[in-house]
Amino acid sequence: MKKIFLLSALLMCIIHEVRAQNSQKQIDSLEVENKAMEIRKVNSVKTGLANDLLTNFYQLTIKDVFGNKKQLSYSSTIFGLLKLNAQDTSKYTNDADYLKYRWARNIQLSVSGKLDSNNNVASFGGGIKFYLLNKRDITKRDNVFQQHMRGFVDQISRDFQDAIGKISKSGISQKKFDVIMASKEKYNLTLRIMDLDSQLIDTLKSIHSKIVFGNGLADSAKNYFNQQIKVIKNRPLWSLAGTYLHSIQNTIDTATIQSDFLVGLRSKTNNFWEFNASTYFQSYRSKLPQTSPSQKFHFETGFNRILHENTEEESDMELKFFGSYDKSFNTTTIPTAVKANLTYRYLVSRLGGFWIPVTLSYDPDKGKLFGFIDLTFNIDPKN
Amino acid sequence: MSTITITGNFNNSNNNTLSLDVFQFGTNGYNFHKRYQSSFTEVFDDLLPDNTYYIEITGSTTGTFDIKIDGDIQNSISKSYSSFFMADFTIKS
Repeated sequence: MKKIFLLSALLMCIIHEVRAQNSQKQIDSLEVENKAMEIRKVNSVKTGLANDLLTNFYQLTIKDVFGNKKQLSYSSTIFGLLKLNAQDTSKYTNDADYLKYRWARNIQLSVSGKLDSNNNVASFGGGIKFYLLNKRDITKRDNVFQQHMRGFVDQISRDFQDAIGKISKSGISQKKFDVIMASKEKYNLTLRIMDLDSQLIDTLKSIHSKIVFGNGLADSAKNYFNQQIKVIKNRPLWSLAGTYLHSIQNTIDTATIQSDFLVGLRSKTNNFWEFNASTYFQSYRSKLPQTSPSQKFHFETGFNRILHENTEEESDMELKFFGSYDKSFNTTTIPTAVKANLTYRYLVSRLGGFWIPVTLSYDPDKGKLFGFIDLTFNIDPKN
Repeated sequence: MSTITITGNFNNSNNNTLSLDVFQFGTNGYNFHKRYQSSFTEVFDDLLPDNTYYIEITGSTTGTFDIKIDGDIQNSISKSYSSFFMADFTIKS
C-alpha cells in the first residue's frame, strides 16, 4: 500500500511534467510568457495562506515533514483535472473556457495518506473542498472598476488622437512626425511626461488634456489599476471542506468537516494583514465492537502578515499569529487544549516555487513548546 | 489594395477595455477608431500598398491582452500586455 501511494504521487508529478513538455512543443515562447504572466497576476491577489484554502490548479502537501506521522496530500481543482485530461492543452487556457469554468476553479478534490513512524501507510482517503465565497477572483467582472478604467482609456486615447491628428495636419515633415511618434512609444513604457516630444506636449496642453498635467493621466490610470488590485486582494475567501480517511492499520476511520475564512484588513498601505478563522469537526468511528464514536472540535483564529512581496507583487514571506482551541468528546486520548501558535511561511522560488510553512505551538497548560515543518508545492502550469 | 488583420485576445478576465486607432500621417490620411471589451478580429482590406500606417492601442485588463498584427506587412507583430497599457506600432503595407 505504501508503494502504491508513493507511486501514485510520483505518477501525478510525471503526468504534470509530460503534459508541460508536450504543451511546450505546441505553443511558441511568447504564449508561454503570456500564460506565466496570467498565473502571476492571479497569485498577486492570493497570499500563501489563501493558496492553502484553495489551489489555483494542483497542490502537493507534505505535513510534518520531519515528524513521525507525515501526511501527504495531492489536491487539484476540477479545472486543473479538466486541463490535465484535455487532448488539446490549449483548450483551457483561452479566456472563454477560463471564464466559463469558473465553478471548476472553485472546487478542489484531494487524495491523501498518513504514514506511520516506519513510513508505512497508516490510512488513506480523499476529500472535496469548495469556495462558499470567493471575492478575490480578479477575472470576475467589476462594473465600477471597469467603468473607471474605460474612462481613463477613452480620455487618454481621444486626447492623443486629437493632438497627433492636429500635428499630422500642421504641415510638419514625415521625419519630424516619426520623431514625435517615437517619443510617444518611449512614453508608453515610462509614463514620464518629459519623454514626450515638446511639440506633442504643447499640443496636448493647447487642448487642455490631463495627460500632461500633474503626474499625468496615464500615471493616474496605472495607479488606480494597481490600487484596485490591492482592494481585490483584501476581499474575503470562505471555504468548506469534507474529508474521509480510512485506517489500514487500526480500526478507526476519520471524517472531517472544515471551514476556513480569510479577509484582508488593510488595502491602502503595503502593510498587508489578513484575518483568518478556521474550524473543523472530526468524528472517529471505530469498527471494534462496543466502542462508541468519539469527536474532536478545533477552532483557530489569528492574523496573517505579508512580510515581503517579490517583483511581481506576489507574496513570498508571511507570518501568522493565531490561537487555537481543541475539545474532544467521548474520549480521553485527545485532551482539551488552548495553544498559542506562530506560522512562518517562506516561498522558495526554486523547483517552480514551493512554500515552507514552519509552525511553532505553545501549550501554556503543559508549558511545552513544539514545532513542525510542512512543504506545500503549488503546481501552476505555465500554459 | 493591401490587407492587414489585427487580432486582439483578452485572456482570463472580464475586466477588459481597449481603444484601437489606425491612422496615417497627413491631412487626408486613414483614420480608424474603435473600442473593445472582449477579444476581437479586425480586418483592414482597404489599405494602400507601400504606405505607412500607425497603430495605437490603449487598454487595461486584469488578465492579459495578446495582440497580433499580420497580413501584407513584412514582419507580423505579436505582443502581450497586462494591467494598464499603451502601445504604438508603425507598419508599412
